Amino acid sequence: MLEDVSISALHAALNGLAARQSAVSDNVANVNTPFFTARQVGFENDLRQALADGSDPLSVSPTVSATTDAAGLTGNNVNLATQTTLGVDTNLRYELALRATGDRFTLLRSAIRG
Amino acid sequence: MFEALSVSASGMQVHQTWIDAISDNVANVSTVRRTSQTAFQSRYVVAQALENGGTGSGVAVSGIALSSPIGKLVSDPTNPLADANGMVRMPDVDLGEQLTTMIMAQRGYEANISQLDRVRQSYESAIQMGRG
Repeated sequence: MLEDVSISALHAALNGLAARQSAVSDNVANVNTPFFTARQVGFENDLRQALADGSDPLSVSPTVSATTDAAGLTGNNVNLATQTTLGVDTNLRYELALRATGDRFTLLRSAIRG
Repeated sequence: MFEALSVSASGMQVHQTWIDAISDNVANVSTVRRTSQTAFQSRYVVAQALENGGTGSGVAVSGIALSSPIGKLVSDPTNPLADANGMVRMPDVDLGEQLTTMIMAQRGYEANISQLDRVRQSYESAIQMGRG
């Protein structure tokens, strides 16, 4: 009863955003590692599809793929500006999803208290 | 729990080691040796990405590469270490290269700190969730 689809969808989004933040951390950690290829995480399309199909949003798992940007002189293709922006963006989205989840629970709490 | 923090920590660790190596190279830029000895060898940190089949678990120092032990022979007859021909052996450290690399290492270190802070913020918010 307490697990509705919006909480599950937000949970799936939080999982995806956490994976994306980990990928950004790994890309930044390897910003000077020769021949390193940056990774990106996608989950939005799968989550949207799951919600449209009416399937369980938590069945969506984030997909990790290599970026296709051209590599620089050392064979490394991490773009620090892109990763920093993505890190800030992901952080804000994560906070937004947390806020929405918290508000959802606040509604439930109000309903329980009557 | 809080695994993403250790990824940034590994990045900081590697860049710190790199800065240490560069500092050592610069400190030894004028280390003079006898021609019968090998020159001071610059240290180059070898970084290796750590794979975990997913988003990766950071980076580690996989070894230290050394520059040529030959260095360069310099004429310095007044030096107490000079050989019969007045030559001494100096390291082949390129100060310009070392200092530009130092800037790269510093910026890399700083980028990892910024990322660490964003991850910390996310975790902190997650801990606070449901209190409102």
